[in-house]
Parts: sequence; structure tokens; C-alpha cells
Amino acid sequence: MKGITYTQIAQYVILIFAYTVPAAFISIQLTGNPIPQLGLGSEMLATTAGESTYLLDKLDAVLHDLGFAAFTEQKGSTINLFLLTLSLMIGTAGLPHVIIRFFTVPGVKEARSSAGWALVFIAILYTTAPAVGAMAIFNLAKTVQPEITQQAPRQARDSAPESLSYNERPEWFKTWETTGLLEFEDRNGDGKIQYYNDKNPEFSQTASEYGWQGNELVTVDRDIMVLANPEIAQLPNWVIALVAAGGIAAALSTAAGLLLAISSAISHDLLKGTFTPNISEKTELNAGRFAMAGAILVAGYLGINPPGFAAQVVALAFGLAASSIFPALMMGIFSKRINEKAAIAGMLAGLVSTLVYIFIYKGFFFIPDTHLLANTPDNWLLGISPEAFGAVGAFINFTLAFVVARVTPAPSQKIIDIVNKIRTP
Amino acid sequence: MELQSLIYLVVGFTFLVYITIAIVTRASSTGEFYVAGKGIHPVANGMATAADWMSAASFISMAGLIAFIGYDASAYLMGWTGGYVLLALLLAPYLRKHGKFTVPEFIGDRYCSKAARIVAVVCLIVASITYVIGQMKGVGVAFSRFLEIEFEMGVLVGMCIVFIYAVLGG
Amino acid sequence: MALTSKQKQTVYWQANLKLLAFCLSIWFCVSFLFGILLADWLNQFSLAGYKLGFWFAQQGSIYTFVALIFFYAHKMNKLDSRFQADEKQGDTE
Repeated sequence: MKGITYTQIAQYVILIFAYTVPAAFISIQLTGNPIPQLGLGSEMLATTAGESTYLLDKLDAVLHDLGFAAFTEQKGSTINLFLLTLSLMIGTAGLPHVIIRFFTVPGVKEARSSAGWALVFIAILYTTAPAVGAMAIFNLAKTVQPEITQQAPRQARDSAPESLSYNERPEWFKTWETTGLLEFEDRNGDGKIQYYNDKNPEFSQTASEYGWQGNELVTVDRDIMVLANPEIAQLPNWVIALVAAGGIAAALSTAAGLLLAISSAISHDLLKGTFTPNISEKTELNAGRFAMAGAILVAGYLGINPPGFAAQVVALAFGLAASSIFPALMMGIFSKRINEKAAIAGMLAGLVSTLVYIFIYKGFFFIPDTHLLANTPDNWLLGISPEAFGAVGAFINFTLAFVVARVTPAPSQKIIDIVNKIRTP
Repeated sequence: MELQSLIYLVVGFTFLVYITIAIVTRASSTGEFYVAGKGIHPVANGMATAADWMSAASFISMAGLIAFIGYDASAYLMGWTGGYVLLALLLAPYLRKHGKFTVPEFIGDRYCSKAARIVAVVCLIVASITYVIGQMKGVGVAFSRFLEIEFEMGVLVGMCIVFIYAVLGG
Repeated sequence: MALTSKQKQTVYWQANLKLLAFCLSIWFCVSFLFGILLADWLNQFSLAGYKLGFWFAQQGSIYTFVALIFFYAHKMNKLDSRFQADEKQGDTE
């Protein structure tokens, strides 16, 4: 455990450097402030329009001029935003590979402060992320539509703003084209790349006046932004290399940690713990490896055609954990009335309702093209997206558990003693 | 130096660091494997937890979402940090006090039920596999850029490396 | 000190629940209230270049969460040691 912990500390150091160093560079480029958290709220350096503007205001204006909604403005429904946040929060507290870390600290006191320290280190990345995102989209717009980012905000114009010529596209553009995650299609045959929102009816008039016939960056996979960001901003090569190393470290460490959690769940909890308690340690280990191989094949197959961007798929996982595991744990600690039947009924109802809701929109077992309804806000129940449904699933879980607990006998004294024991420091 | 070779060099160097640490600390840790974490300072444990926690979704995907949906991505920022408040206040101290090593074990004990434990395992597996699918997307993006290959090939290469990494790590 | 061990435990648990309610209401305020429900209204104010509601959603809530966990840990550690001191006293009496 100690060995793994030190490796993870090394991973954290590399990961956080890889994330914050390019962010600091870009923040200096744009605002002169090396701290991205402050840079995002600062004024921009040298805007050609003369007067200085705040970065976020400028970004809102640039996006507006390309037909997109403003960066700082809410686009989806409030109920969806609320439930998605709640779902991710209780999912965090229900995901076993996170919880497991708090089993290994020396005592209760350390369990409390350890979570705080974990959040300190997580917050360094999470408070940097808005700056990374905002500056990445600004730099993307600046590269592809240079004139738009230079003009004064919301300035009326009669001729089409100059776009990047495809033949002069930078090196990073070509590299990402080979991955298939960035694609250009010259719709109006002018050899230039127009990037704008062609789904905005209010903007279509302006676009046709410019002679634009559709957004020509047909594919910009959102998941490439962080890795492409330092290249777009023309940072030194060593920074780009550092980001690649950080990305690979992040992807590998969590994937491996999850596979270990799955394998121990199957070999330790399912086989050794319940069905075949007498198996040898070697069989347990092999069963674990077998489970791991199975899990990675399934995940890899579905990962090629994923049901969303990485963060969205992960959000689905959080929804599932939120709806099933978190309520069972919480009621187990804070209620003495919940018994076995209530907990099982709650977990199953939460899991199944959430899973079915997700499958309806994302395809059964995430197999592409098996969904019943298109995954658009109009089809969602009360405007709740599949990613956000975990909070509703958790509510179903809690409610059903309380109802079942009311009509079934109270738990035995033995259970009450266990609860009393875990509540005492 | 050429960008691509510099990337190989830096990625290779970081792997060397992980492997060296793993080998150096392994010798001293076999004996204390089961008193897991004893003597690890909460700050160190917090840092390790943060590394474990920050996956491809946080590192690669989240800022991309913020870039394209702006304010609406706040759900991810608040959700993935606010959850720690719930964890620290409502679960972690009590689960630690109970002193078992897996979540299904705790549920099995608390509800005095093997069935509850099995249901918890099923929930855990469903959530974890979904999580790994999301990770594989991130792994695919990282490897396709790193090796300059198509995304689909990147996922395949990533699958093999993750498997080897997990088997060695276990 | 006529409290039995069981009563002391109840007192301790009630104190814990009260502290939890306090912390969780702050948790709710900075994220759901300031960051989502009141964000539009708060956006009329600004903090440097940040609109206030946007700042709470993407920065402020996270800083508060960190502080909140340490605050709770600090308070609980104090509560724990008081409870344990009481317990010991109870044993010797």
C-alpha cells in the first residue's frame, strides 16, 4: 500500500505540473497574470480595440460574434443543472474506489482531515480548469477566426471577417486530423476554415451575408482541448510534452484503480465472500485477473463508440453510484430503522430506474443505435438529462427504503449495536 | 528537439519514475502491506487520493467541456468537489470506524445480510464498468495523439497498456 | 456528572448532528443557492472580471468546500476529545 501511495504521489506531482504550467503560460500570454484563477478574472493585455476589456467579457463577445451563446450564460435548464450537480456530488461519495481510500488511514480523526487534504489537491486542478477551458476556446477562435477576436465587441461589419486558410493551418491541426478527432470540410469551397454556430437561426442571416455555408470544423472532439491547448497557444515543446505525459498518467492511474476495484469485488466479495468461500488464494487471484480482462474488453469495445464525451460517460457512472450505493451507506449510518429488506429494495430500485433511464436515451447496454428515444432535451422527462438522473434515482432509493422499513420488522439488537459502535469516536 | 521525440522522452521518463518508486518502496513495504496506510501522513494520503481521483475525465475532458459549454459545466466543477464534503462529513469517519476494507463488506455487516452484500457488489460493478468506459475514451484520445494514430487504434493500444499496468499494480 | 455512558453518547451524537446541519447548509448555499438558483441575480454584481454568480459556480464554491471540511474536522476533533475525556472520567468515578 505504501508503495502504491508513493507512486500515486509522483503521479499527482506530474499531473498537476502538466495541468498548471501550460495554464500559467497561457494566462500570462493573455492577461499578464501568472495565476490562472486570477487571470480568468483579469483584464486582457493589448487588445487592438484600444480600451482594455476583461477576458471573460471579451470571450462572451467573441462567442456572440460567432453565433454561440455567451460563455458565462446558462444554456440548459436550471432543474437539470441542479440535479446534475447533486447527482455528481452524491455519486462522488458513493464511488467505491474513492471511499476505499479512507479505510486505509490510521484513524477516524485522520479520515476526516484526509478528505480535506484530498480536496485541497483536487481543488488546485479544478479551480484552474475554468481558466484552461475559457482560454482554450478563446485561442481556438483566435487561431481560426483571427479577425473576430481582434475587433471591438459586437461591432457591426459588412464584409466577412478573415478566416484561417486551410493550407496555412498550423502543425497541431494536422496532427489532430490524423487521429480523426478534428475534421475540416470546405463547405463553401473558399479554402478557408469557418468556425461558427450554424445551428443558431438568428445568426444564419449574418453567416449567409459572409458567404459562409455551414460550420467547417465539422468535428472538434471536446476531449482534445486540454491536450491541444498548449499547441494552440504555441507554447514551448517541453510544455506540450509535459501535458501528454500528464494526460497519460491521469488516464492510466484511474483506469487501473477501477479495474482493481472490479476485480476485488468479483473475487473477494462475490466468490470468496459469498458463493465459494473455500477457494484457494491462487484461484481468487486468477478469478480477479479474469474479471479484469473481461471488464477491459467490454469497456474498450464500448469505449470506441462511447455514449458521450469522457466526462459525460463518467457522469453516468456517478449517477449509478449515487442512486444505488450512497443511500444504502448513508441510511446504514444515520438510521437505525432501515433493515435488510429496505436496503436491498432501495438499492435495486435506484439502480434499475437510473439504468433504464440512461439506456432509453443512450442505447441498451450502451450499444450504439439501440436507444428508444433520441437524446435531446425535448425528449427528456421534465428536462432531466440521463447524466443528471442519478439524483432522482437516489430519491427513489431513499423513499422506497423508508416505505419498506415501515412495513417490515425493525432490525435486530445486534444491528443497533453495530450502528451505535460506528457512531462513537 | 523535434516535438514528437520530446513527447516520447518525457512520457518515458515519467514511467521510469513510477517504476523506480514502485521497486524501491516494494522491498520495505511487504511486511506492512496489511497494516495498510499506517504511518502515511494525511497530507500524503490526500495527495495520493487526489491522483487516484483525477482521471481522464478531470484532466482531459472537463476543461474541454468548460470550453464548449461554459457556465453549464459548473455542474462538473461543483459536483466533483462538493461530493468530498458529503464524503468527509457523512461517510468517511464512520466507515473508517467500522474498519472493514470494502464497501460491500460494510453493507453486508450493517444489514446483516449476504443478499445485501451481493446487491452492493452488482451496483459497484455496474458503476465501475461505466466509469472505465469513460476512461477508455480518454485513454484513446491520449494515446492516439501520443502515437499519432487513429482514435480507434489508440483505444486498442490503451486497453493493452491499462491491462498490463493493472495486473502489475495488483 | 450523572450522565450514563449511553446518555453521553446521545449528547455527543446530537451535537454532531447539529454541526452537520450547520455545515451542510453552508455547503448547500454556496453551491446550489449562489452557484445555480441565485446565479442569475448575483451576476449583476462582479468580482474583478468575474460575474459573481459565475464566480461562485466555478471558483468560490470550491474554496468554501475545502474550508468547510477542515472546519468540520477541527470542531469534531474537539468534540471527540471532550467526549473521550468524559468517558474516562465516567470510568474512574
